[in-house]
Amino acid sequence: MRSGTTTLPDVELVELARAGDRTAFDQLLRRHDDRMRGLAYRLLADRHRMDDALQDAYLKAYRGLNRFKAGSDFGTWLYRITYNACIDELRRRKRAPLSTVDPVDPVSARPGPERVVSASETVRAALAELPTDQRVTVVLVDGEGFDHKEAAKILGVAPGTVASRLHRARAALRRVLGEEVR
Amino acid sequence: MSDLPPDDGGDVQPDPVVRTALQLLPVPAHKGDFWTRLDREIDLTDPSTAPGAPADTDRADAGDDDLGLYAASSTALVPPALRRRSNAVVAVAAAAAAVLVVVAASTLVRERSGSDDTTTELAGPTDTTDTTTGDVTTTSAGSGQPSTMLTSPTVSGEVEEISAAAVLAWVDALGAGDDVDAWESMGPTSRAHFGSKASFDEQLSGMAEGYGAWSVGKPDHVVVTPVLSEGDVTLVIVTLVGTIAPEGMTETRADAFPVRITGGTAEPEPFAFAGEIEFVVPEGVPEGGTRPVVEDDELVVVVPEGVSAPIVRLDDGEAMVCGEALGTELTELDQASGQRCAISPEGGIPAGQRVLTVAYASPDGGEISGQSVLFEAA
Repeated sequence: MRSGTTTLPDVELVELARAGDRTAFDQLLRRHDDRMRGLAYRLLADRHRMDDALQDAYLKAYRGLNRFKAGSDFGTWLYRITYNACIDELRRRKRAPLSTVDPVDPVSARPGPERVVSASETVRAALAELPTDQRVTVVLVDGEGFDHKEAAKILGVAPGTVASRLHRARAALRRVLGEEVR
Repeated sequence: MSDLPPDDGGDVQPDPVVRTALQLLPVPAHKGDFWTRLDREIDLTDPSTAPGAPADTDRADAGDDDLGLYAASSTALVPPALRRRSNAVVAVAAAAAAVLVVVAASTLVRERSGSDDTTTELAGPTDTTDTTTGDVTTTSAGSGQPSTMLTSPTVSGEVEEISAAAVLAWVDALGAGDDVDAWESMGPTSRAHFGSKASFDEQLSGMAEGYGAWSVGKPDHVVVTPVLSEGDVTLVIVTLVGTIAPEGMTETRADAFPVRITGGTAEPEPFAFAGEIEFVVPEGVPEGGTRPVVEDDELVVVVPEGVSAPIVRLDDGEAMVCGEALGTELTELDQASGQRCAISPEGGIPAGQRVLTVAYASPDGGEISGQSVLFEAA
């Protein structure tokens, strides 16, 4: 990888990538990959499906780069593509229940105290119980820190819809989680 | 709905408890070959679609079709609102106890005839009645059962024509890159969705690529389904069926567009959706854009909890309120939030290319969801 690109802002990397610079595109993906994995994994609850969805999303991003509008936020754009890819992935698997015992990657899971592991399983199960629309909304706002307008843009819904989904999702999560995470 | 927060976004600040909970969920790394696989796939990308390739002059205004493409039956074309939109023919009576089965009113079929000159004919519903009145009409479903449960917010042929024309004009505006026309012709809910024209413009290129493909390809059929008629407001769904070529890949598909008619003026409302619709049978369009195949005689969709009268429609037959019309069943899901709507057309599903349309609207008509999917009945 060309080291000179690693400090460039997104907007410049995008321009390079649009001109055909694969290294710049790779750098963009890796810069945002953590957050995309966060979204995909929390939506799909399965590492293999997460990878499948992100393969699809990143490939679509590459193919769509020529149409990325200059001045737009690359991260938000990539979020939307990733979100759509996750939804497609969910649809491909129809209504198969989400895994609640997905084997956690030994490297990144960083096993902690028992209590934390137990809590994370509870969270995973609680999240898996939510309808997709609620799950993605709560992941975006509470997990990724987007405000309602940003989340609405990513999801392609009205801000009020974000609010109502969030309300339901939080209520459901709090019911399930109880004091577990307090 | 009384437990919902107001639409002021006040409930969308991060919740510390939920936030902490989500942070407890570890996110795994990619599998070891993830980036290698991606590189390989990118290597296989058609050079004409790769960054740095010369622009296709036919697609000078092309945008990203992935943007906002949420729940569509196909991943290629439809912005989020359309993907969730349904062809609801909901006549939710003010009285909650009233059961209204909305029978498809007339169906406008625009037969393709050459370039962009189309002729219009009304293809009447199979055996429903009164396809041209603007009044709520009691009629019978196609299967001949008594008409006591059936009420249809039928619309006039004129309404159908202006609805179809509004959608076709809108996709033409997008295809032509006419941002002003495209913005101004949308209905109030869709404009409010964006908040400003500047925000709309940000997504214009993506919409041009998706919807604009219809301005080039032209639909073979345009099916208009009444959704709601309340006061001077009528909501319909316009479904375009035809072959288009987004991304250079020819695809036959069906896309649903909500339209609001107020005082004789029809305005597309592509971003006024009320909620999600999930197709289970047929599934959404599989990878590669091939048409899903249905071998059973039962079609299944899932709509959110609380939707009181989802409308389903096969091809341009009668529109039915799921759970009320014969051959339909609406049940709560056991393991998840939502309602399962099963449709078993009398006599089965005729083999061949079929379009299933599903829709519902908020009782006040402010929001509408509708979605159509093209499939192959075996």
